[in-house]
Amino acid sequence: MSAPEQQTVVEATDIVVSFPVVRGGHKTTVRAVRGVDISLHSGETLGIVGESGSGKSTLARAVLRLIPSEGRVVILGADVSDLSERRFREHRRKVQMVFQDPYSSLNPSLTVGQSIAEPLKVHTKLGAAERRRRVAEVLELVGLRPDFADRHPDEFSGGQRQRIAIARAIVLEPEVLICDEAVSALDVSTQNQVLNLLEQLRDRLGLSYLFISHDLAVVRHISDRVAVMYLGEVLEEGPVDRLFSSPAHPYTRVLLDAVPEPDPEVQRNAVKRVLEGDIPDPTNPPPGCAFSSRCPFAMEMCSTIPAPVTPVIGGGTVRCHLHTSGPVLAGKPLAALSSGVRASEGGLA
Amino acid sequence: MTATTASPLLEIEDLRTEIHVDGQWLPVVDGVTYSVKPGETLGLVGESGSGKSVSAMTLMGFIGRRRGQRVSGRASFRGRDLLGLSERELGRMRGNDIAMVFQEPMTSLDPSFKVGNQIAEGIRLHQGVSKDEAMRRAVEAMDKVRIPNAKVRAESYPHEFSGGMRQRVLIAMAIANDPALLIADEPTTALDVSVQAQILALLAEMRDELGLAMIFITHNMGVVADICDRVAVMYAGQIVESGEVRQTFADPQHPYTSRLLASMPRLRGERTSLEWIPGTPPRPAEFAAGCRFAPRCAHAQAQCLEPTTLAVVGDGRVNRCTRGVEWKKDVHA
Repeated sequence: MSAPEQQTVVEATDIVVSFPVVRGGHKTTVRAVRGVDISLHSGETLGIVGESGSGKSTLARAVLRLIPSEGRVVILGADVSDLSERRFREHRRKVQMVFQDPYSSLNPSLTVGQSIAEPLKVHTKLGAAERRRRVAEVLELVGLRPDFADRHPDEFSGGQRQRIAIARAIVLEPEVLICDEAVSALDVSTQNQVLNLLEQLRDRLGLSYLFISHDLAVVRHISDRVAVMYLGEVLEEGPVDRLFSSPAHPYTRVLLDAVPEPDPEVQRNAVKRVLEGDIPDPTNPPPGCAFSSRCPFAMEMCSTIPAPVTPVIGGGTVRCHLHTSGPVLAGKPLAALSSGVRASEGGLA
Repeated sequence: MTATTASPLLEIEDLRTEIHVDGQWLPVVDGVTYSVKPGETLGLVGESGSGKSVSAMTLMGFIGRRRGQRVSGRASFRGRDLLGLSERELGRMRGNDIAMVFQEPMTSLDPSFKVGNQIAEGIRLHQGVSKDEAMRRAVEAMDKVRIPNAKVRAESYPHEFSGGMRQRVLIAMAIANDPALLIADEPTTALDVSVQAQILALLAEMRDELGLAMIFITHNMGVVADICDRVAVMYAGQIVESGEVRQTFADPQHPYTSRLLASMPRLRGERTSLEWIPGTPPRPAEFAAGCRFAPRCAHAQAQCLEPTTLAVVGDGRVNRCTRGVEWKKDVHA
């Protein structure tokens, strides 16, 4: 599953996204993304999970420069942060996006073929016949009949429309696909068909995915690595198996506990730790750890001092004061005993 | 949890809801039979378009009473025929004996009225108490569903609440008149997972405290496993299987239930490749004459082309599969 050669296809460093808002008659700013680092390796799927208001979709839009942001974005080795809109275009075609709602992302007045061919018109010099050939090719890649190109989006089911949206996203042969809640509107059987298609395409076309979802079980299935966002920050990231079997951050833990498993025995015997309250007002986040106001393990320092990024045994990193001395063995920080565990194991450090 | 000896509170028999489209009557709900005992929670589960919501809307008289819609079958609540009630009688029953909570709390609340007033209005309508008394009871209901600072929050407008708090307001509204049955239609689907856990815990608590019976309509098998005593699985307008939740999950009788459960991505255990059912559910105009699942079923045989019936298989379980549980012996798939 994991990428053998660790070529980084997307590297985003210290991304900050701020929006002006009006609260109680006063102008203020919401920092929807607050200093996030992510890196995506070639052939890898990085899952980004979080609840509403965590900033996960905003982060994706910042990477694609669909919204203004601060920080550095490197796509396939090229720093695109300061490029003009025109010069950014050649890099943008390498990173495409698939959204949740195929109903609104496809123009209902265009045929499916016209929609899919649109990026070819903008980014390539292909003639009409070549475009048609390419459209037929990608339709087949996503498991649809080439003659569907002449029909309109409203003739298709939700799952088929999402396949069309994927066809449109891969028509320019991108390196990276950003999937933003791409299967969230679908019934489970259709969802799994589309997830399977995404996995096939990843292997066949050598794609890498930034897979954004609120659905932890889906993210677990498709991802190699996972980042957990809360209130604009990544609280924890790491290899998928480690993160789900031994979550390091209390927020990851409660989030996993909150998902009802389709198993009555598990569900009824589970100790349910319900996370009380709501996500804090993003215009006024807690000064220390973002999660400190709701954390069952919060210490005094948590509400005042931001937790540093700390490596986790088994891979990845966590931002939590419970881990600030690093992994502990027999009361002593493991980092002092062995130099084996380094932040470089995760891609986030 | 389940009051096995009590007589049913709600009994639905052979309920059929048809909608007239393009010159033909389409059976959106077709021959649905189930019952709910006092204090019991029944999960109605299925994919989009399976008829789970329409069957509940039919009971409540929201569907089936207009032109181009027709309903047959029987539905009785505490011995009263629901389908024969006048609009007036229905109005008296809705929100009183039978309450409802829907998926989208924002659209179920009037944005221009304070939530306390909205809850109090329902109380006045059904309990005939004074304005002040209704408000007092509204605040009490908000308190009961753990809305902090209920007395102050009663003066707030819906948009001043978070999604989870709005769902609490709706639950307060639903329980304010002490109903016997609560119909919850995807009440946690639009919520974040941590808020969903809060609302599920609250509903379970309300059920135990108030002795509520519930019909829980959901597409989420995890939610069924969490909160339901019994489950009815719907496919293409019909119940394909129903029974006690643990038994049904541990040993599904119908191939559709079995495949649906196998398709659920899991949080625990080994990560295996995802399963799915080929194709998509049929639309009402395309329902097969025999078993409606047969065109997608790996176990279908010639006999599955014949019309199906719900067979009682013991332990209060029913199964619509023509092959009973014989299909489990198939070697393939």
